[in-house]
Amino acid sequence: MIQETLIAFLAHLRRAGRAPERPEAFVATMAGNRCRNLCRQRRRRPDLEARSASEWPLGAGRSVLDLMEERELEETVREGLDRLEIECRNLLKAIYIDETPMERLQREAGLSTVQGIYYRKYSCLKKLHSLLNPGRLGGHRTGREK
Amino acid sequence: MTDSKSTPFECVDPAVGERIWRLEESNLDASIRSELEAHLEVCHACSLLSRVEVKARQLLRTEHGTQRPLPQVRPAARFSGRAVRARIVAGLAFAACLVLSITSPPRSVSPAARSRGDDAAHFVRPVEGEVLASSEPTLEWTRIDDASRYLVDLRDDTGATVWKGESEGTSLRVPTSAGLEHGHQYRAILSTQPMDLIAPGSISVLFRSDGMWQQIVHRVRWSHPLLQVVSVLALLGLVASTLPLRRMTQKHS
Repeated sequence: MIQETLIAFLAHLRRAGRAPERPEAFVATMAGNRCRNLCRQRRRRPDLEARSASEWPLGAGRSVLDLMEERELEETVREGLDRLEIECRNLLKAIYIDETPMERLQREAGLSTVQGIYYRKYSCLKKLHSLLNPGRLGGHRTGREK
Repeated sequence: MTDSKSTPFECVDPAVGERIWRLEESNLDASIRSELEAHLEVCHACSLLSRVEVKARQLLRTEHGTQRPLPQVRPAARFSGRAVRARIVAGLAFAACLVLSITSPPRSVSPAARSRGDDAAHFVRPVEGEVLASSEPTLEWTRIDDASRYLVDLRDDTGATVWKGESEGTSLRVPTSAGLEHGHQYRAILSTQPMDLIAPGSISVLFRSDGMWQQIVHRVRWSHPLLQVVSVLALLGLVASTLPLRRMTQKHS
């Protein structure tokens, strides 16, 4: 896992063209996320090898596991949308369903730039994400997994 | 670490992760875009966020019953491009036919009436049954040998003369004072000096004075048959290029 993480970090350095401000924290968080992901996938398939599972969701290939994840993601996002506050839900509906132009949403919200709407949308998605991330998708750490 | 507690994915570089939303900006600087995309590749938390967005969009649209195709659905985009090109061609052809129909002289409504190109003397414009929107229409006829002067007698649908005019040439403008009324038919009868060159009343044309819209409708209705065929084909092409797009859209929605 450490090797995989370091290789991924080096590839990231080459791609991004600059080092993060705190490379040690960067690598540690990468490794932590990979471990959590591996634990999550091992709960689903105990025989899963670390090498094949460590790349999720970054790997290009798709497998049965991916399909399972899709279903799981769908269920959890649906639950999250039901729990999401009404303002965020309305904003996401306006963007995705009504396809309201961002400029119009910006005017209605009284914002000076359209970037403000993108940021609000991102914030709403983060709220939705935070509703989900601590749950099934983020994985649960237990003493045994550790 | 405590047992059974949630351990969410964490952003590997929050300073960059906080700006991940800027990937939606169309005019984003290339270096920033590259940096954000590189971040997305290694960060489980941000990658999950983007997957959550895609799934939320799908679910919201499904709930709403629209299920519109996502932007990355390339086949629909390629199809619509071809359909749009076909529609543009068909639309231009139809528009060209329509313009030609309106601007070119119409056919005679009476097959027995003389038309342009005949050898015998006749009225060139208007043609038999033509609708004229102008209050000062110009009458034109073919030249008659040895005629030194042409006389035009304009009569209304009751047969009463409403105006008479003379010309040394082969055209004559009917003045506003003739009082042509919309919705009424008039017959122009041509005679010559010397009078024995043509039989009395043998050269005449019937036309109707009406509004611009009626004139356009008449010209389209009585345009050249070839022009009508091309117009119908162009219209069919226009409809045919539109229908598959609708089917495709419904299929994806």
